[in-house]
Amino acid sequence: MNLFNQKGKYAKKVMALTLMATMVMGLSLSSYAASSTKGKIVIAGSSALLPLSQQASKEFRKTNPGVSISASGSSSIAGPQSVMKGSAQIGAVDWDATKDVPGFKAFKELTAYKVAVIPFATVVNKNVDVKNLTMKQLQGIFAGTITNWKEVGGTAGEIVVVNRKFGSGTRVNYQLKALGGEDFMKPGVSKNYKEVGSSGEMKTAVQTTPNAIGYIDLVYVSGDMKAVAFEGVDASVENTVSGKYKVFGYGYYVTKGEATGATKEFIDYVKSQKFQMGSLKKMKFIPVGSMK
Amino acid sequence: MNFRVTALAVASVMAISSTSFAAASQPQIQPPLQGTINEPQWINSDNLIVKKVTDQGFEYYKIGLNGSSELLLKAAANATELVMSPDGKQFVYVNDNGDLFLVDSVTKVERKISTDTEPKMELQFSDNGSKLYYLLGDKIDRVAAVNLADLKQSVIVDDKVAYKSDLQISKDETKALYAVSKSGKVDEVAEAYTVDSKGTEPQYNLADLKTAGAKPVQLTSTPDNKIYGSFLSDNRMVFVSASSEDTGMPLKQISADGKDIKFLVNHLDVSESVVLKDGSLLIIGENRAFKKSVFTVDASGITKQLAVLPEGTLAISATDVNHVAATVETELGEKVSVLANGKFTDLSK
Repeated sequence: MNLFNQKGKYAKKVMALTLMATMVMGLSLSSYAASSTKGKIVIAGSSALLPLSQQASKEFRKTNPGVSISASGSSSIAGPQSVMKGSAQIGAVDWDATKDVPGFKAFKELTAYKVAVIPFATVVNKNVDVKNLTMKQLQGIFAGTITNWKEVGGTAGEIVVVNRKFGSGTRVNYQLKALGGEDFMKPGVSKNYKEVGSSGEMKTAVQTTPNAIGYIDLVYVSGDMKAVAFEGVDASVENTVSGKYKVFGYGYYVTKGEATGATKEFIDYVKSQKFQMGSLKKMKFIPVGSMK
Repeated sequence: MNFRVTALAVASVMAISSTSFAAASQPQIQPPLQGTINEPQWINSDNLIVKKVTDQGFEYYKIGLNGSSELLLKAAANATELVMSPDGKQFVYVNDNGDLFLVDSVTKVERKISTDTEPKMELQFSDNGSKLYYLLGDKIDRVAAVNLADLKQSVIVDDKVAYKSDLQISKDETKALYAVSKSGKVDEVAEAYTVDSKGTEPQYNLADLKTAGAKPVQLTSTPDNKIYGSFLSDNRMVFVSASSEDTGMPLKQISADGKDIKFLVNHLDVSESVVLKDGSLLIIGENRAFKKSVFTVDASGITKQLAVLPEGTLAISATDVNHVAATVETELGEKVSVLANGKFTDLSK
């Protein structure tokens, strides 16, 4: 429990006591329940962080029933952009949007809160028999210079590359960590290249396309696709925490200026030990405090 | 399940004390636990299991009404969730890889009982302990069950509706109640970044578990927040309704056939409802006349105050009206108090 949270709790207690005193004095209040936090929060941005935001919303509602929360997931860049435009209070983004990253300038007016560690996995269709790929091999595959699975030790078959669209935080992290910053091939260069708009679309595309390769956050990996090891290390929570597996990023919530009111309380909940060590882990995200 | 089973988060390969998990082995009178102590779960008339949150994770203690306390479990690094069976003889947990384990409380022998590694949420035993129910999937879009006699697993609700929560199974195990929350939509065309949040409020669905292929029925459609959905013993359902407007927090009931929704308790602001083992109902309620108190509620909605709750009460856990425990916020974290002789007494600091 950090000092920040303690202050929040203390402030809530003071508010509750003040309200109780007000009622004793006979002043009119529209509802006795007014001592609980009220508000509406819209969360927009990363589809990788959507399961986390949805789960946190459900849990937060139980102790803050006067707060309505709507969460959506499309692309990371939608997070800071929606907050800047005022259509969301919280932007979910897979990089620190207050800093420059390849392809995106910093949003200086925003405040970023680190909420999770997100491991990403290289995934292939179930018909692909390759179990490990190196950074060099991945660079070749995603640049379009390696086009057949037999070139990387697999059974012959034309590789179908599935990439996330520009604006995806998963794409930013994968390019930095798995490809060492090397570029992807350009759309239209190959008939065996396609781009998708969300983690869900990536999952469907890789599952349903023979010889496909793509990448996705670990939580989305299921039995109907295969995760491929990176540089001989399996994509797993354990290997990420131990530092062996390098393809991961941090998930952030961003707000316009410092978070206040219900938005602050919600972010405090997501950062709390209760959520980080509980539901966040169950959903295969990694608590921020677990990283060395 | 007519009483809410508290989900105890915990360890994988556990640093379990040598003391039997279920047996009352020589507990000692010790200074009260302090820190963040929460999620009390009654295991018999004299003892509860509580969770202590530490910087490293979680520890589980058995604490007695006589002031005794006993360390039972210490969380390991890949701790996720532990839930104990109603008779305390076994417990289940999911590790952070998504594997589900069944553990004998006495022998500590554990078995992996899952064949997949998908996320599993809201584990809960049936009342007789023979089945385990849970929400399944990266989008939490299915309800699954394991028969613990033969470990046969099955998906019992597969309506492809994502982000389920508040799973409740009726006492006769013929129905499943759960909330769903749709996601909003962001318009990224021409970089508009407008967000459509229409229809994202939580709604309750009811699934018929006896009729194969039956499509779940949406029970609610209003834009309020809906929490603490539960089955009563007659398969009526109740939930707390709240909103960001100052409209109060009534307890609403849904008829067993799902066709009729009306107020059950509308004269109190209800912040939690708990269904007891016998299918009757306790609530936390308050209004101008009552400080935050625990009340019994009869079938017609008549409430009777049991006791005033300690200031800072966050939640209650109860098996019957004589066994009510409260989790209370403190300056140090959270503490557990129990109701005895009409008032609450602290079991931890």
